[in-house]
Amino acid sequence: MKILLKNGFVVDPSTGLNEVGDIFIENGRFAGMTEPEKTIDLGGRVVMCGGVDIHSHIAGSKVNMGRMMRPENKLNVPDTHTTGVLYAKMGYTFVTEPAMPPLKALHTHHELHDTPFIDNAALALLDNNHFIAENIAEGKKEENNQWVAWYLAATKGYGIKAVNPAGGISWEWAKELSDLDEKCERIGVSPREIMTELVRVNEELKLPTSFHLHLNNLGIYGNSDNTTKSIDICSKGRTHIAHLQLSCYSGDSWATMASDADRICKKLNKTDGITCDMGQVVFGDCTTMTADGRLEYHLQKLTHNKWVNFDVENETGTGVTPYTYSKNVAVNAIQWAIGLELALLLKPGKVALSTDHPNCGPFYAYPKIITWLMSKQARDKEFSECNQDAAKRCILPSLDKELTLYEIAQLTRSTPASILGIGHGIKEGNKADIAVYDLHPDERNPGKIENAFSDAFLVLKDGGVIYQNKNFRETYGKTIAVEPKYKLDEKYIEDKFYEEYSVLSEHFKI
Amino acid sequence: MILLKLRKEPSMAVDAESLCVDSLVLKSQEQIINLPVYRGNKKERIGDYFDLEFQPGKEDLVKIHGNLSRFNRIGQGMTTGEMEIDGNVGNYLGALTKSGKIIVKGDVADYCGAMMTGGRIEIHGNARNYLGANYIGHKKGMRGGDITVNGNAGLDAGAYMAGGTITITGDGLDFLGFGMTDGVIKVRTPGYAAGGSMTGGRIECESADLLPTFSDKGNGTFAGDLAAGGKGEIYISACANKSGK
Repeated sequence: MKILLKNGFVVDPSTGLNEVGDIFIENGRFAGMTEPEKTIDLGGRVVMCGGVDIHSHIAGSKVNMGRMMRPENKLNVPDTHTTGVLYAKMGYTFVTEPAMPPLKALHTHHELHDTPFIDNAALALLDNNHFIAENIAEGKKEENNQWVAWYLAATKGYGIKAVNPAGGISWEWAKELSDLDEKCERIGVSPREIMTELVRVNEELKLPTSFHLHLNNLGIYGNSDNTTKSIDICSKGRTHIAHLQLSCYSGDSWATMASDADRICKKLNKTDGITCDMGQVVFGDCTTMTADGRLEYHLQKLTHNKWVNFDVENETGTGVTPYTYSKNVAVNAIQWAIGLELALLLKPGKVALSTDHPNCGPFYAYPKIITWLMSKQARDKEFSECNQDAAKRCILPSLDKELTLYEIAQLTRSTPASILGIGHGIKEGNKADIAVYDLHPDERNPGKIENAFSDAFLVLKDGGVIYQNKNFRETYGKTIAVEPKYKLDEKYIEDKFYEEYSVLSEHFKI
Repeated sequence: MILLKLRKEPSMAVDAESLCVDSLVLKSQEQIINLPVYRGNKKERIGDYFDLEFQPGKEDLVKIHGNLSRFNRIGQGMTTGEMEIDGNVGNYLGALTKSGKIIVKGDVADYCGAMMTGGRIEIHGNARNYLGANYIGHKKGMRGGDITVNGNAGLDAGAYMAGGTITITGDGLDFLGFGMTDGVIKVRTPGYAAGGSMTGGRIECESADLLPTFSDKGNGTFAGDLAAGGKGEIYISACANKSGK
């Protein structure tokens, strides 16, 4: 079908467009000027490419554990169908599930397959993998190239994810690592060694996306030094730091915890190849879920909430527990401020929007976060309702910058797409995933902006209308995965599986 | 006084939230018999099951006669008036009650008085499971109000209780007062793990087989649940006059 989207205000940082224009679509892709069979007049409304979420827990074993844990608040961790609907409604067309344990890949893919509308990808958790760690201890690099290439192909993963590297191995023994050079239990490798190795393998295998990293000592006061050291360690290759807000704390207790975002941003801005996503807090009831089991243990000790902790044999672990971010808790207010500071202080291309859904906030609160970034008045109002002890422990009140629509499009489209290495932008040949918002480009009213981004005027996926006039036309997207071109020694992998896993390698593959 | 007599028993469970003083008071005959009840996914009316009579007496008193064991959510969320039910009742009787009084001359099924915040429920027969308990997943259940049961209760009576009083003349089954943070439960004999994970509140009974994480304070008082760092108390009258350890 040849479609013309006429008279939209096109905001597309991938191609630099920021002006009124027409968009031609043919056979599901952007095309050169063509005689249209169908024309839609957008009336000057804002048009962007479909939104891209680089880090959102939407599919798999721990997500489902979160659903089971929250029967009293089902929208907190939505089911697969609701997830797809709510993303499509916001004009998002691509979501990355950031934490797929290889042993549980089948569950992740079943759920991604069951999620309507969005294209998607899953990152494989290789952070505390015993085989990779043992090879590091023995200096075996070729074997690790094999493992990563094999795991990604076998689990239909898209990239490498590490959560609390080496810390997870110690956590299997209820122990924690205090610094990046401390060796973990039994296998005896350090976080530095695992990070260095995974960055190396990512570049060696020429994988499309950066090495994705959830830092050690996440969510604890005084962890910002860890962050700057990790940035140095990982700058030998492309690294994407997940939910950076949770790793920007100075201080030596919760009473002295403060934002160190300014210093972290200065460092990040001058370190090539390192990017991040915000991990923005949205006040209210959340469900934390992460492969960082020790963090979840500490959180539930604080809250006495229901909690699940489990181990994924040979590979990684998980913790799930609810947590409520309150405005009258100064630490939560500082956490909230830090996320926004990151988006306001980092250069374009360095930061993507996220809430680490459902950890710091639900993904369907993105429109609200956009208003905080576009309107100082809107974020000042939110902050005025917070415990004012936070005011001296963060720099947000002093930041006047208000992001433009173009910068919002960078945060939610071009930057995450570029980090993920997926084709993006209104360019001939690209997939026509488009979101039109009932918004004029000079609108500055936060309420109107939030409403517009919450309920897209029109959404196209692969050139077909999927949402218009509050009606959905149900479709399913595609899961993208990598097949690293690397010669595999299948026998080596088979033997290891036979010795160490409770399944055979041939049954492990999706 | 509004009198509803059951004329026809339903073939399956009926959600009858409209059978509540708040929905019925000051309404006309026509309005009342047309109020909705839900049988599965079918919307029906009160008049499909009940005959309605207005009788002299308080206008916020509702009497219902008949075997209501397939009717759920009667009196749910009540804030005013009084209900007197002559017959057995289904699930969620008086759940979420804020104020008012319900008397049941019969048995009730599960979740009677669940998530209650005030008011009074009297059950002359037996209650089944989750009496005055929390809805699944919620950290706290009943926060206020009074429930009395002349007969026995089932499992999880007063689970996650956070206030109010439950008085069971007979016995309870396992997990009575599980996860309690406040409030008082009186029972003759509870079952296994009474007060398990309790961190506050009080259970009074005649005899009980307690978890090993309750410590004997003497005079029949046991403190726990120590496994939860709890400061709850279980008083066992059969153990009074015995010194602690």
